[in-house]
Amino acid sequence: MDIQLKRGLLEVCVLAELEQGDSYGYQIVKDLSTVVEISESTLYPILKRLETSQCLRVFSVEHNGRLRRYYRITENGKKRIKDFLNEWEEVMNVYSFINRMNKGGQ
Amino acid sequence: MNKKEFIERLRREIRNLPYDEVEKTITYYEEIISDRMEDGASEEEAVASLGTPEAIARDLQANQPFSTIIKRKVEDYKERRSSENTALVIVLLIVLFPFWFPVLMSGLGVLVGLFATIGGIIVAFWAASIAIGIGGIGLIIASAFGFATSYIPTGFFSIGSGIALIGLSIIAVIISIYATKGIIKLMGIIIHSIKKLFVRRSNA
Repeated sequence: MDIQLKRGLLEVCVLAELEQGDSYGYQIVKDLSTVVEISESTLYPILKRLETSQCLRVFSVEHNGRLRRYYRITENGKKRIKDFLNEWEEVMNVYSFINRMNKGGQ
Repeated sequence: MNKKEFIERLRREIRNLPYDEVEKTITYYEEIISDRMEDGASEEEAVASLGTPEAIARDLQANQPFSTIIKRKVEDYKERRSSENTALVIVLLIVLFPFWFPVLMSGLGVLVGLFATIGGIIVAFWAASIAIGIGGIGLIIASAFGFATSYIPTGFFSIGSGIALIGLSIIAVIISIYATKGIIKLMGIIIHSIKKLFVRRSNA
């Protein structure tokens, strides 16, 4: 998959997961890897970008005697998901058009 | 590699990043290793699944601002060279000055030219859009004189073309907005690729 496209998709994937509730790095990777190929090292810059663009907030929670960083979605982040869904509705229409044409031509 | 070794190597690799960036990165990877181990992985497994500290550091460097990358390059270079070598390099740089200087300058020139051209196109787009709009407003004002001096057809003609021009201007502004956005994106991609040139690849 195109790298820029994948990066953008992953950002929304992370937000979608956080919309279900706060989560932490390892949990996010585990949940998302059922849908898309993602590693901890790919996730790190994504979380950083989402934090910079104020789509999520970071806070620490004590767990087993250490601190774990949890991520919580913001209003900005929720808006980002909505924008994505609206935009991709159009993309999906184009996709099904291309698919139809392709099948018709064969 | 155990957790301690991994963290130490990672810290060494990213020591040139800003302080809070280093701490954040280390905290993140420490947490991931602990969480993986809690989930049943051995320490070695947990570390191995993250990839090498060198690869992680390279990806992080590429996301840093240009100035940080250059600073790191210079510091790395200083560390590696002994003093005699530096003297030799300086002599060579001076002797070969007529050869490398023009190449460097023309390279820079091409870059500057590229960005100036792109900037110029954007400015031209906006100027044209706004000029068309001003022309339209002018024509509408002119039509008032047409009506006042009882050149009625001329008045109608002016007001009509005025409105048409304003419409055209609005379309042109919309095009300009998209063009500006697109070009800003393009510049980002160009700068990112230039930065990638300075950050070594895995096996290079």
